[in-house]
Order: sequence, then structure tokens, then C-alpha cells
Amino acid sequence: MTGGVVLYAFCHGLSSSLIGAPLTGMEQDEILVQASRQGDLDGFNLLVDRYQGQVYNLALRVLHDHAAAEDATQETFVAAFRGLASYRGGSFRAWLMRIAVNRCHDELRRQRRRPAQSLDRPLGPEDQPPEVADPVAGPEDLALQRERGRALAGLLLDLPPDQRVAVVLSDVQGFSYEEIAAATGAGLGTVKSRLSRGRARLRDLLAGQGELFALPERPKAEGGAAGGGER
Amino acid sequence: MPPWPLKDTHRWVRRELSAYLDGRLEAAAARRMEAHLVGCARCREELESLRDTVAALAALPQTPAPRSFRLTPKDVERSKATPVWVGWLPALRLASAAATVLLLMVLGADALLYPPALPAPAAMGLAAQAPKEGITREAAQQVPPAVEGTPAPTLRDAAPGAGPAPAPVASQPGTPAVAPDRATDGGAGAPALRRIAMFLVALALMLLGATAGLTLARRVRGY
Ligand SMILES: [Zn+2]
Repeated sequence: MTGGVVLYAFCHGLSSSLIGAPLTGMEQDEILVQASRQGDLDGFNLLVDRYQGQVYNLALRVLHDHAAAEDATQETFVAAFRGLASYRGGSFRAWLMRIAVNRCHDELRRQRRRPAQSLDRPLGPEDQPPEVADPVAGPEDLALQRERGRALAGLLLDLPPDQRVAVVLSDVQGFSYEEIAAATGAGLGTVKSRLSRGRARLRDLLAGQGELFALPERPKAEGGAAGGGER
Repeated sequence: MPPWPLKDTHRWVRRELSAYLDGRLEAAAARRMEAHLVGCARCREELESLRDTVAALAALPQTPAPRSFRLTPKDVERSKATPVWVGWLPALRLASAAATVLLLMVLGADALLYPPALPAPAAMGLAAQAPKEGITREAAQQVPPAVEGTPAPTLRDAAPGAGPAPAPVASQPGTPAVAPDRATDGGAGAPALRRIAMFLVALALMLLGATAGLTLARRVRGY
């Protein structure tokens, strides 16, 4: 208990006055992992606090189902705590996300075996979480943004799972190619091509959504670039 | 760099646009990309639409976690108590139950068929020491008919199903207490064979269970 309190203070500012320089996120992770390995659950829960949003959002975008995403998140942290011994340094976030990605693939496989329980249904309005309002955006913009988000999240489901995971990690979560490679166990070349194909497919799907995204239809003829891309 | 046919250049550009957007192209490749984009409206359009797609994804709202996923000591306890190999337990339980049933059957048949015959420990020792040779020797000895009027017990009759062979043996109360291989001389080959066969199966299952149990115990301790 006390260990956790000390760690908490350590990772939230005290460090700068003690050591002189604030710890980077990765250094903090490292300390918390060391503590967790000694069985310090409070230390591990600080890691949970730090990453539960990312794990949950990855699962939500890949699985497109709140309940399944919640289960996957819980399982990810339990598995992570149990498997801390196998963490060999490097990006803890990528290591954790690899567990989460595997959980998502497990869940997708399970869904494929039981297609009756397919989660293809679109998230309804009641599924939409309260979003932080953009202070600049008017109510119309906000509604449009929300509608776009819903449509886009649904379109992601049309990507093959590997491409979906890569696209979500890269473009929703902001992972680097290296982190995606670590989180998926794929090589850099594979990451690059999954991203390329996933984004291109998503672009085509968005173009098919008409006005919602105002993306140009894929040009068919050389002169057919009738002013869509400019904004 | 050798000049490519325009068609191939388009294809290459389309494939590499995504990496170009991320700044992941080598300098030379990026230069080639830009040189092409300057003169190709279609590929420029492609780049813009890809950029818009990435921007739309980045604009997806982060959903706040619906609850705290902090682990409680109970979560951890549970996670430690149910590692992967726990999935084997039902199979192990089944195997040991089957072994027990078989053992009981063998002992029961033993008591029924040979009331005054071998005590169980002796039979066990024998089954453990002389496994296969015993069976084949007995099988060979069975070939000539031993009991007058009764059809010769074949190897198939010796299988667990109650054939006609055991009857005369069971009805002979005065069967001397002899080792099974000598008992076969008197025509008791089929039950003895069956008994030994069942014993071997039970023994094998018990050994399997014990090995698995030991492995499991070692894992539990090492966990
Ligand atoms: Zn071109």
C-alpha cells in the first residue's frame, strides 16, 4: 500500500523535485513495472489508469461492441499482470497493446465461429459515449462530427482484422510503425502494407458514403478531378 | 534510376502514398514520388483523399473507459488460481475415474472368478512384471482345446465380454491356488487372460494419471 502511494507521488511530480528532471513516460512505466513484478498491485493499477483508455478504445474500434471491448480490456490487464515476467523492457505500451490485440483477435475468432452472435450491428445512439464538445464547433458541426464518427467506426469493420488493427493503432491511437510492429508481432514491411491497403480500402468506402465525408469519388479519367480534395 | 513505364509508376505511387504520408519513404523514393505528383493530377487526388481519410480517423473521438479497470487482489488471486493448464483437469479427472472403475472391475471379477485364488497384491506384481510375454504365451497355449466338450476358447472369447469359457472355471470351487500361467494349463486361460489384460489397461491408466499428476504438482509448486 505505502509502496503504491510513494510510487504515485514519485510518478506525479515529486520526482522532478527529488531528482531534478521529470521522468519520461517510459521511465515511469519501467518503475511501475518493476514494482508490479514485486506484487505491488497499486503500482500496477497506476499503469492501468494510464493505459485503460487506449486499450479500451483499441478494442472498441476493432470489435465495434462496448461489452466485448470492456471484456477484452479487463482480460488484457489481468493477462498483463500475470505475464509481467515476460515483459523484457522496451515500450510497455506496445507490449500491453500486443496482449490487447491478441485478445481482440481471439474475440473476432470466437465471433466467426458463432456468426449468430455477430456484432455487426451498428452502435446505436445510446451506445455513443458522451463526447467532449469542441468549443469552437457549433451544434451542427458537432452533430455532423458525431455522425461521421459513427459511420467511420462502422466502415472500419469492413477491413480485414489485420488491416483494421494497423489502421486503428496508427491513425486513431497515433502509434509509430515500430510500435505497431511490436504490438502486432509483424515486420515493418507488413505494417506498411497493411496500413497502405487498409487506408486505401477505407478511403474507397468513405467515398461511397456520399456527402457525409465529401471525399472525391475515385477518379476514373485523367481529367475527372472535379475539385473534391481541396478544403 | 531507370525510367519506369507510366502505368507502373502510377501503381508504385498508389502503393507507397500511405508511407509517403507518414514520412516513411527513403529520400530517393520520396523525390521520385514528388516528381510524379507534380505532373499527375490523379495521383495527387489520390494523395489528398488518403490524407482526408487519415484525418477522419484521427478525428474519431476517444471514448472514455466505461469504468475503472483497476485490478483488485481478488482479480489477481483468480488469475493466479486459473492458469492455462487448468483446462486439462477434467480430462485428468476422467482418466483417473476410468482407472478406478477398471480397477474395481478387475478386482471384482477377480473375487468372483477366483475366490480362493491369487491375492490381489501378488496378481498386481505379476501383471507389472510380466506384461506382454505372459499374454502371448497364454494365447499360444490356448490353441489346443483343453476342456472336453467345450469349444476351444479363442483369443476373441478372452475379450471382456462374458463368453462361455469362464463358466466351468467359476463352477470349480476346488481350483488350486496357482499362478495364472499354470492355471491356463487347466483350461482357465480365458479369464486369466482377460484379468491380466484389464489389469494392464488399468495399470497403464493409473500410470498415466500418476505421471500427469506429478507433472501438474511440479507445475503448481513452480508456479
Ligand atoms: Zn500518377
